[in-house]
Amino acid sequence: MCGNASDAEDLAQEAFVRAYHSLSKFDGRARFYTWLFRIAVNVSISERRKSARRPLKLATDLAGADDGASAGLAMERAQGPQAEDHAVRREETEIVLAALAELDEEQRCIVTLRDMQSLGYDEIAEVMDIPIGTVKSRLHRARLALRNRLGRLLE
Amino acid sequence: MTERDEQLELLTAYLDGEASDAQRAEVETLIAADPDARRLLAELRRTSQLVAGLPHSSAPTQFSRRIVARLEREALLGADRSDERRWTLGNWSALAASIALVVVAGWWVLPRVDQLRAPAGSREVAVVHTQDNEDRKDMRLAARAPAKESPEVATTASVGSRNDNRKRSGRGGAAAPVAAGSADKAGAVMKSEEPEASQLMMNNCMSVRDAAEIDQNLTKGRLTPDEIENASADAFTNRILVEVPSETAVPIVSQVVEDNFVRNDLRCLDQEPKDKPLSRNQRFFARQQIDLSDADDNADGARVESGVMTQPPEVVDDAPVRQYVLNASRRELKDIVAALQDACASRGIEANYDVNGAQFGNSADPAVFADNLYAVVDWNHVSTSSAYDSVTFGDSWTHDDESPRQPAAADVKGDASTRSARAAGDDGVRPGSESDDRIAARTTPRADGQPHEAARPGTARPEPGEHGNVTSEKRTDPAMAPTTQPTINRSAPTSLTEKNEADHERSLALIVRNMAGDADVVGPMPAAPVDDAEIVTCVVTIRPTESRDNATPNAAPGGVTPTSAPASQPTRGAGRG
Repeated sequence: MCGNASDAEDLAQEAFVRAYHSLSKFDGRARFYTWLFRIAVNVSISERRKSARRPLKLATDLAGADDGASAGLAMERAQGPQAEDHAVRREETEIVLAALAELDEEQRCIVTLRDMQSLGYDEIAEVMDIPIGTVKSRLHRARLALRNRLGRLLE
Repeated sequence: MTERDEQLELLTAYLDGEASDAQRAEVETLIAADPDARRLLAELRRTSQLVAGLPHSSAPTQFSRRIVARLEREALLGADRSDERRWTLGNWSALAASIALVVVAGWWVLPRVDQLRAPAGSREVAVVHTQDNEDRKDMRLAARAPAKESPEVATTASVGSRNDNRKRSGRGGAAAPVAAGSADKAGAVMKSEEPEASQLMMNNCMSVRDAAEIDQNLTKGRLTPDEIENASADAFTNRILVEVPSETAVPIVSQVVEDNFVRNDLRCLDQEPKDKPLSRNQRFFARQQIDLSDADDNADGARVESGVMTQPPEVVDDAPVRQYVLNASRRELKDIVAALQDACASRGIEANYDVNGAQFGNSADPAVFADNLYAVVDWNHVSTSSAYDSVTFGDSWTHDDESPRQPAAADVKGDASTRSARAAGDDGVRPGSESDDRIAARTTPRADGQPHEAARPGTARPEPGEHGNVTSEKRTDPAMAPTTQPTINRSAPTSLTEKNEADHERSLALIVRNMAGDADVVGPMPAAPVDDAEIVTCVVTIRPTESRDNATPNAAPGGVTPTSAPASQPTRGAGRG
């Protein structure tokens, strides 16, 4: 999903380092991975705010992407009858990424946590430090916004 | 929000299985009766599926290693806040991938991270020749001391007592007052020396293995104290030589090296001012290309002084040999060699490697040279240990003008009184013949916590702005002595285990005494742990095989100028590779 693997790695590394330095503050009341997610989210939000003036661009040619079918360059090189399917899926991916990029930060975050990381609403509430009711409404609005941008992909 | 909106909002919770029974019943009633709601539910489901189907990125294979290396580095050198300042490249788009990385990598990073979390006590490395911290020091050392002294500890202790007597009878003016109280306690001197030794160890990034070898060389007469004095840190600079079959392979292999530098976030000095002071704990690299046919001409070469490159090299574009001078961790050096092996093997380049005398090829396990990497030994720094008398270890870093930071060599300055005392006491004493009162001055805390006045003369580090032109002769000039005394409080956490810390202290205590002329003091050397996070200086040379006749492997390459050539090269690495 992220077009900049090195930034992603930097963010993840920073999240781990901060988690390491803050381990003594982890009191066990939250689930550990929720706590870790929260650090990662905070790091990401913080960095995004620092670079707020730069336009967000989510590219598809993720280095090391697990899903070979959606890794752009790999698909372009694909040979045989599956090439067309690959091209379609790549296009889909680009459209979805573009739609995600147009969401505001909070909406993108909540959609990512739910649909990509499969977190429950209570976990999302912990990670984002918001009430569950807010999770529901924000997620709904985010999906509506995405739906409006995805257009023909939903037909 | 209208009632209709509230109903539609329930669709999302329904879709995610997060609706209550009552809400689920409400939604099912709605979609059964309302085609628009039914269509919206289908679109929301599809939207969710499309997002869920986006590719995920796994953590790179080196990811956990980089984190552990960073933590080790921070633990050893103190947190480098500049890392955070560099963090402007991140952006929000990395959120999903970073979270994915966290998930994927977390399973195996965190168990390793635990290994770094040494007990709180072991993070206090010690030292503290100040009155305020005297009690704390004694308390820490006492807590760390073994319940029953091992033979080597007993040896050290008895030696300490002997030194204590010498110090008490040392000649007047130049000798520092012995700390009242601590000197009266049995083993007090040993205690006061060990922390200093530890301090030296930390500041010189010298591993116990290096210390042990040097000490053994001294003991066996293979290396005289004068030779040590004459052997600049450059004599202990790591040298990695890569020989490739042809000139055309040199740029290919060089690119691999540079890519590795970039991946490891090493700072490139090519664009930096030449007179900018560098500390040994800065991680950097600089490149140079050398025409070995003119190997005697060092005019354009890099200058390495006491493990610090004080002059970046000039680049000669069409030269057949490429060379890099860098400060990096041992781990990174191993990574570089491993990357070179992989790159050469994949391209069918039969490369030969020489790491401080250990020779191997593409298929060799990098472990064959891992132990052959040297830490920098900054003898000038060692000999000015009194400059650290006011250095304290605390729970946090503080510094006069900048915090946090590593009190690198260039940070250490002496005050005017120290300077004049050094000048007055400059009797030309060399490390091998250092007088007892000077030993006392260096190894015994003052009761008032003030710097010792019997600092060893003429071996102070150069001032930061003087690096580019400083020579070994200039360093022995008392006028070049530092001008202010450091007031640095720092916590010097280390990734070493508590046991290894104790080993470090004992080793360095022995080294310091041997350097000071206590040749009769020989104690069993402890096991030699190698800390991969240590920053070491290295020269990486990549050259075609045909140029071999023009240069001797592992000789100081043409572009790198040691500040003072060793009278006899210390036995380095032989038989260890």
